[in-house]
Amino acid sequence: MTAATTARSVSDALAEVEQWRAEEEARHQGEILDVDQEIKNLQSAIENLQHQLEALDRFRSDLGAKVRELAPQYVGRAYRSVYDVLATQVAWVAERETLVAVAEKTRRDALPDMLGRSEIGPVLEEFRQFKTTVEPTLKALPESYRSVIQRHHQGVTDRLRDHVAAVLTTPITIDADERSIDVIYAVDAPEGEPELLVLVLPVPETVHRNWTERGDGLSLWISARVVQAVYEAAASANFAKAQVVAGGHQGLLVIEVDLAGAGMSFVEQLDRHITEVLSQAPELGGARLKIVPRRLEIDHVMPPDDGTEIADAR
Amino acid sequence: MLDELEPVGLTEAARRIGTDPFEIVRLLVAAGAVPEGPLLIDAEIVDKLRGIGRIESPWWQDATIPKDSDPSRARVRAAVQMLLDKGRVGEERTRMDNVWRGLEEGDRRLLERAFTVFSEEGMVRISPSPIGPLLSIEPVAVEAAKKFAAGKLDSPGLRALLAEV
Repeated sequence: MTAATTARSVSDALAEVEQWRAEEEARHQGEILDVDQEIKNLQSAIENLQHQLEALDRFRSDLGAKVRELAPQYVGRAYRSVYDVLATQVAWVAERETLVAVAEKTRRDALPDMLGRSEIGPVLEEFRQFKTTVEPTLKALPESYRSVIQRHHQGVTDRLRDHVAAVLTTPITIDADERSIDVIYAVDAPEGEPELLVLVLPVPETVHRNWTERGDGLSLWISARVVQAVYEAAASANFAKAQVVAGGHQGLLVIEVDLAGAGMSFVEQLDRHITEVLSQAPELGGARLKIVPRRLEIDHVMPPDDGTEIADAR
Repeated sequence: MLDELEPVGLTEAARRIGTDPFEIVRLLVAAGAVPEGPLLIDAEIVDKLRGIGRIESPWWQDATIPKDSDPSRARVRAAVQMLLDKGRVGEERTRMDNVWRGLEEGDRRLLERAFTVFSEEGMVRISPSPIGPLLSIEPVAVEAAKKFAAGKLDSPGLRALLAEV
């Protein structure tokens, strides 16, 4: 039902309708304009949000890359920190080596006097006289005389040797604070089975390479005890193929053992033997060194191979 | 004067026997003779270690090196000949480092690598032991070893090894 009209004629009525149409159209057009503006505003807002989203995505990618880079950086830093510490400990060992060597020389130099003043003094004098006076003339004696004298001299020598050994095999003990140093080792087992054992010691690599010039000393004793532990572990684990190979890395002595065929039983035995041997070695205790074996991840012992820059650990 | 009465350190023991200090430790472990005290060894035990370790005097003092265009191959041929001459076949094994004892570092490494190659090729047998690897010529390869030592047989592995060097 249409609204009642006040027009007096058809023309007037139609004009009213036309006016209504125009007014309605104008009103709707106005609303359309408003809606269009709102749409534009929202689109602009969406565009801005999209930009923000893209920026956040990029930032998130950067953070993800940094997290992925952490792993090799961590390995590199750990490797660097291990070797920095060992480099410091090499100097500690060298310092103790000097003290022990001085104490040994002092004891050795004093040995003849000390024995001379002891109950074995007369035996020592007899030995000295034999060496200086009798031995040069032995060849001139008949065989029967010579053999008697040599037999007696052997008895004298044996007694003296026992006393000398009793003195020299008493560990030197130096007056110093106990220092703790590390012997680190790692087992490379990329597929679960041990393939390689690597031990790094806080002693110079020249300990093995130049052993003929260096001679015995604290650094060699530390190394020898580690080798002892390796071979004792091999014996306990029935791993006859164990072969210590000595080398160097970063100036430090490195000992490697090919573990093909060894199995985890060797590693378990090594854990036990290396702790026992290093804690019970009297010459190391006398040098006031507490040597702590530490098993690390292989990546912390072997140099990184991916070209990662090694950052200073500090 | 008291020096001759003193127990022997690792380096002196190694010098007397003709090996290195770490091998001395190995032999002490194998012999159950690691000192209870510091690492000083009675002179009598040092002599026993030589026997326990089957350490022989150097072989090369009067050795004959065959003529060969390649001096490295000549050295290896001579080493194989010495193994044959000493009867180191099958169960008659020798300590592997006896083969290169007394030689310079380069020849030591050459012979070690050469015999490793020969073991892969079946000419020699390398047997692990608590005193170190033991070496002998495989009985089935004696004729081949003789021919090789005489320069009448080639070893592909050795050829490849010498090409690297």
